[in-house]
Amino acid sequence: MNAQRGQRIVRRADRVFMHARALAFMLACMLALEAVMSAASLADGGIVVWTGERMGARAAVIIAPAAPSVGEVEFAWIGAWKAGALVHAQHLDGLAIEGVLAPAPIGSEVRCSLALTKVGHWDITIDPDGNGDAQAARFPLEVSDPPARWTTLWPAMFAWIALVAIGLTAAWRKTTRRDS
Amino acid sequence: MLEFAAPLLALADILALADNLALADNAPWVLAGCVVSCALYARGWRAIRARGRASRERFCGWRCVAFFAAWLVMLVALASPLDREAERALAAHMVQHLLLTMIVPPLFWLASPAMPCLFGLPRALRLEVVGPIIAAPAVRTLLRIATNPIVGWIAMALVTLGWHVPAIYQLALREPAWHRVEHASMLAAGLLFWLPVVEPFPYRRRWPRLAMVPYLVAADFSNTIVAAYLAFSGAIAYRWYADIGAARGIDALQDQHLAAGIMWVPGSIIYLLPAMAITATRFLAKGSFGVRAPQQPRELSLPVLQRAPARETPRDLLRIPVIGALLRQPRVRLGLRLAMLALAALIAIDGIVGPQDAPMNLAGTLPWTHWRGFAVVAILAVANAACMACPLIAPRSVLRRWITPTRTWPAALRSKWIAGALIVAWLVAYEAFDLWSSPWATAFILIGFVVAATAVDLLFEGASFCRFVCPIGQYQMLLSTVAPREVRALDADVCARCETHDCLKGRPSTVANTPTLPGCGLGLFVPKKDGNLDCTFCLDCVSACPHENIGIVAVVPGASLARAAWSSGIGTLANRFDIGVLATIFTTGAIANAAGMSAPIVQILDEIATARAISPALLQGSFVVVAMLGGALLLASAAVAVQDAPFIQRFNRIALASIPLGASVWLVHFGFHFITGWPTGEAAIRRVLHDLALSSDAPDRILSCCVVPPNWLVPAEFLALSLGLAAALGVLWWSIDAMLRRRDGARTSSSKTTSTTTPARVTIAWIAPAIALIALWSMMAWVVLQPMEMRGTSGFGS
Ligand code: SF4
Ligand code: SF4
Repeated sequence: MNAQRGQRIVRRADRVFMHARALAFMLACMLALEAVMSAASLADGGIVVWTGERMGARAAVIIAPAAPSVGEVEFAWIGAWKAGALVHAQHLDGLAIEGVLAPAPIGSEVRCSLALTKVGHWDITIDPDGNGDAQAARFPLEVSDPPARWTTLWPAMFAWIALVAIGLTAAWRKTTRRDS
Repeated sequence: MLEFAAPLLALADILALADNLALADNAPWVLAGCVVSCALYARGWRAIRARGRASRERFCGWRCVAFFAAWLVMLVALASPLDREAERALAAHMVQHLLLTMIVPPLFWLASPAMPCLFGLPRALRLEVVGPIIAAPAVRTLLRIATNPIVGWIAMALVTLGWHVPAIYQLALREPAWHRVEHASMLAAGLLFWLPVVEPFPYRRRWPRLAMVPYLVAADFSNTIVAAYLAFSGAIAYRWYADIGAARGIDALQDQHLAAGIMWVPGSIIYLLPAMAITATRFLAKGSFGVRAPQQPRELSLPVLQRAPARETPRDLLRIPVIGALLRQPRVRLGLRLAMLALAALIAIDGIVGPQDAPMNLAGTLPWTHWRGFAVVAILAVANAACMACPLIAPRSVLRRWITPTRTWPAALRSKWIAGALIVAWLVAYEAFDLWSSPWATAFILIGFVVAATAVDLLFEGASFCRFVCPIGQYQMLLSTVAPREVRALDADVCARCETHDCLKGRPSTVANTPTLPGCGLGLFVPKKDGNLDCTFCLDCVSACPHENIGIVAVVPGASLARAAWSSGIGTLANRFDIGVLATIFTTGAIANAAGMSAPIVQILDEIATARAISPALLQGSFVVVAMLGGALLLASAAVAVQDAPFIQRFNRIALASIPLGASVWLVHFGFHFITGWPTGEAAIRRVLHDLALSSDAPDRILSCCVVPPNWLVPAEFLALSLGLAAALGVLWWSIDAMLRRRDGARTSSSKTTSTTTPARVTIAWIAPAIALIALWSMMAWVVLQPMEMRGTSGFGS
């Protein structure tokens, strides 16, 4: 009786196993892919905050992240530029930070990351030729409180919940099979 | 396996060089995903091919090539300059999407990856976790639905149409998280869609083969709708590209038309080519008009998973050419320990006569930053290599040629109480007297250990110091209970026939003037030992066994902790209260030791010491004791909540289950010092060379500073802690299951009642101690989020 029941279970498992392999593998691939994608999309995204004409050509500024918060903010200048191009950030209370724009790996763009350390209103000036105000592009930027650290760390932090769920399911199934 | 990983590593290098960019920062994650996946496939592929000609024909070389090609295309799509260009030009973005939905998935399925990847998994994982889950009814139903061709078709149509709606498309461009969801959903839909088209082994056909023709043609419709919209709409669909295109000197509308062309022409070809091939194959095939389904692959079952392929016979580390032969030689092992002793002597000399500036002294850097980090990684990755190379036992191994100890270790002291007390004393002294910052103290501790180990082992038989005294040894042996390898008898039948038991007793030499080969000094009889506890990996048993029947083989990490069964030299683990307490010290000590270096704790202790005029040393030492007692109380109270067995057994099982968590905490702590403090060794070595006039380079103290923690370090630390906690909770569940079954076994044999141990009962009993372990984890998680006081380095405050 027990042997028949065991065979029935194995037969049922056989059938599902056909499809399971494909999906189990797909999930593994997705996990691996997620790792790749989270890596590949760092400093990804952003928002166009300024467009206009400077140094006789069209230009645009992209900042990332799209909703800046206290911490690193990346400024990308798309357009004509000269060595010594600068990005200057000034907080409402007078705090000023400056950085040099350096060639980015996309086309002829230049980029600079500034650590904006204060919440509130910042005035940003991008000077594409490094010669002062004549060619500068100006725009305001609102910086919010930094997100809680767990909001970026949660996948690694709580990976144990998924692992325990998988382990418990397996243990439960195995114990049930052993007892039946 | 490495031969397969190598091309991928080379590829990553090329990509990193090619774009000189993001990969540098993210390389660990990219490489981890790619290399793990490819290594898994390659391992399983080789194992399956070893099973015979039919398997070799089914899993021929080009399948392996297809798998690597799929990864190659994926890397091009997601981690190459194409990915960055996709943010700036719609045409590039379209190529990226095409690769993810139409090239990568069919390549993956052509590799028939299911079987190789399953057989690439460690056997225990395959049989204990994957197998039972696959057989679960809920999973079965889910998979049956997901692999239905109609689901794949709908998924593909949804991602093709959905992600090109301007508002959704721009959301993905703006928000990296949505961008990831976009790519993941495209790949998932692609995999589901191409599954019934490629039919990778052992996929079983749901629809007649000819049904794939309308399936593919209909899929091309959704593709055509989007392409036509982009091609014929006179306006720019995505504002993002309008803003950027002008600045880049690109006409955004032209870019959009190019994207439409890419989607329309190559996209349609990719859909229609297989449709034509299927039609041609069916109608040209003799006697077939596409009505009768061809023969299905033979059913595969879970028992198939259990049948070990030829390559799955336990792989003994000692059979590895050269390394295995060397490790089998007692002289080589002694040479290794003597070399380590010479290094220890050098460190001790520098500690005494060198500058008392820890970051510039060998004694202030190598033992604390480098050796501890290396040892914890080596033990958790392979086995107890740290005890195997221990310099403390080198002198006794030499001196025992002339001095034979005659006393046996006193019966009253044959426990772990002395070693446990010494670990507590060590942790308290470390915190109270900042041992790491004193080269002088480090030197004298080293010398003290060598003298004590030699004295004890010349007075008493066996390896009494390792077994009953050494606190470092106990820590390393506890770590090795979650190591993936164990010293084991290879063939139980050979042991059953063996009459001499030389692995335990030792083997007298048959050659004149050569010493007797000692047996296990720790009293472990190899065929009856369970787990790595008390095993120093000295490999004396390997040399003594006349049948070459002992190896270092793979085991399920932590399984012996879950069994907590009888083992030679130890007795029943679940009944050894001293070992339970030692395990508690191991885990709670790990957290207390790590917390002691977090800036807020250091600051609070300093403030209390100043405000109350208490000695900082006393306060720091007390902190360690109180923190450990708090942790122990937590575990003990959880043991009170569980019923059905004597308290000591319950406490021991919970304490033993906490070891994987403790191991992950030690790994995170020492790994952090190792990664951020590795340059300190270089500074100290250069200083020594300069002092010895072997180098003219004056050491630069700035070199002794640490490196800035890389971005991946904190996520990696949390991942390690997650693994540790998950393993601890798993060991706990199996341990409670074993405990309840044992009790049931006793009850049913006496009263003829049936067993009441069900998974539900086990889980209910598991909850309270699981909460205690999660509480310990949360304390450590808090510590990881704090700025650290950098030790053994010259600076870097957080
Ligand atoms: S391990 Fe070797 S010496 Fe020990 S019992 Fe087995 S065969 Fe005999
Ligand atoms: S079983 Fe004993 S002799 Fe063998 S490696 Fe372990 S400690 Fe050494």
